[in-house]
Amino acid sequence: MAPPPTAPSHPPQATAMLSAPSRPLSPEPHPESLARIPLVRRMLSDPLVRFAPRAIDQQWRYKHLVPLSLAGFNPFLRTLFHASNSALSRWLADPYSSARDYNENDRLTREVLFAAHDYLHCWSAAVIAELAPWVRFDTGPILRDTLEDFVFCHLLTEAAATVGLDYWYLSTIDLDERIPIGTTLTTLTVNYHERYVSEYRRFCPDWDAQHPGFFGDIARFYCSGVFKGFDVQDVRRSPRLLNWLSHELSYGAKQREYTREWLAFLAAVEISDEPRQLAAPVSLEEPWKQRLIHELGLVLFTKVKEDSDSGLVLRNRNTPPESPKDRLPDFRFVNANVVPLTPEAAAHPKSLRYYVLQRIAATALDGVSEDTQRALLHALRREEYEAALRLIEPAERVPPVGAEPRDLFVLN
Amino acid sequence: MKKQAQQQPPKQEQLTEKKQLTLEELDQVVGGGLAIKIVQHKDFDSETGLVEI
Repeated sequence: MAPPPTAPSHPPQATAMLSAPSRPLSPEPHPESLARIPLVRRMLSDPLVRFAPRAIDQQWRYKHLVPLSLAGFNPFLRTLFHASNSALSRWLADPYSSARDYNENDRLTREVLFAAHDYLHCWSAAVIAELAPWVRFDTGPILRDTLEDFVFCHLLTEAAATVGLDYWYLSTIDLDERIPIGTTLTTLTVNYHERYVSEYRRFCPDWDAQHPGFFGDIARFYCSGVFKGFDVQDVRRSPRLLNWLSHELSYGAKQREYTREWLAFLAAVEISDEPRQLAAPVSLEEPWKQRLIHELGLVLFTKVKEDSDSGLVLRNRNTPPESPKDRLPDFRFVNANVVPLTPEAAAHPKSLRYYVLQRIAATALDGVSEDTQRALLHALRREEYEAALRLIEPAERVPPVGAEPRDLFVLN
Repeated sequence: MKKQAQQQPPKQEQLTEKKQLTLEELDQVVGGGLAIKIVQHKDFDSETGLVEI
């Protein structure tokens, strides 16, 4: 979709302020509090987002009985979802105290950093709605003709979350030195750190990630699949480069694939399920896209480096895109705590796998015997999902914690 | 002199400008994912092996 010919290009600093003021920041956090991370502290006080528990027992993940977190994600809802039984849910009662009481095996640190990552998704989605209102990114509808524009904007939010938290903050500090809680985490979603910049510059002498334009570099990479500045010979000669860039390149392709699948599901648009087509480059040459990349990079840099929203006060209007209620559920994108499994939905293996994983995570682990846990694990390994469901069905569910959304991205 | 100038390597900036890497090119190094294990998840902690119990 092209912007109207007269669409103004709002310099970020000139955009109107139209919404509620921020909640005041808390008192000074304990030296061992994760709220000493500026983005975390802002996340806790920003009226743009709210935390919402879901009836999930994260102990399944902590014990590695399920392969991924099933807390879920939906940036259109401007809500940070978390398991009702989790380190994060306990920490939220007093986030300004020491994190050590909640951080066995770095469970809390990982969950809080992912919440901050998701916060930047939500925040950048709201910024995009302000800077490029013609896309209607925060409300939809998503149509066949606009699907690729939504894919582009969603990839921008992914770039904002990764660049903002990982490249511009975590990679510039020693996390355990900043917050002495004995954490072994350094970064969250990228294997990159500024302490190794001399290694990066050995192959790319003008490498510099710490400027606003770097957001555009990563955004263009997420869209195109082409990472500029390094080549095959470089990664052959540097295991550190290989470690960093192999994950960026492989997950970058997955992101385009997952984003197209999810947004097509929300739009009820049928698209190819061929992985190469799903991961194909996203067009980014349109002038409005170039302008949006530039402007979002500026406001993100200011947010992360100066803890400021550049004068933007983001609107609290939000009627998020939703999948049609009569659409066959795909449990990679639908909340199994809300929508029941039907025989038709069970016929799709990818969807069934995620239904089963969600169903297990929604069960209270403490009520499941060690023998049943072992049998479940074996069933998951053999992809015997009907058997897994039979094992979990008699067990007690996690108590409900209020309304949950139907549309939820749990694919990872 | 002219020949010497021609043999000089291009400036680093020009090299950097030309350098790029794609997933297909990376496969030359990692052998299509067989040589090393690439974590294809946002969360590095995902799918890192289910426990033996």
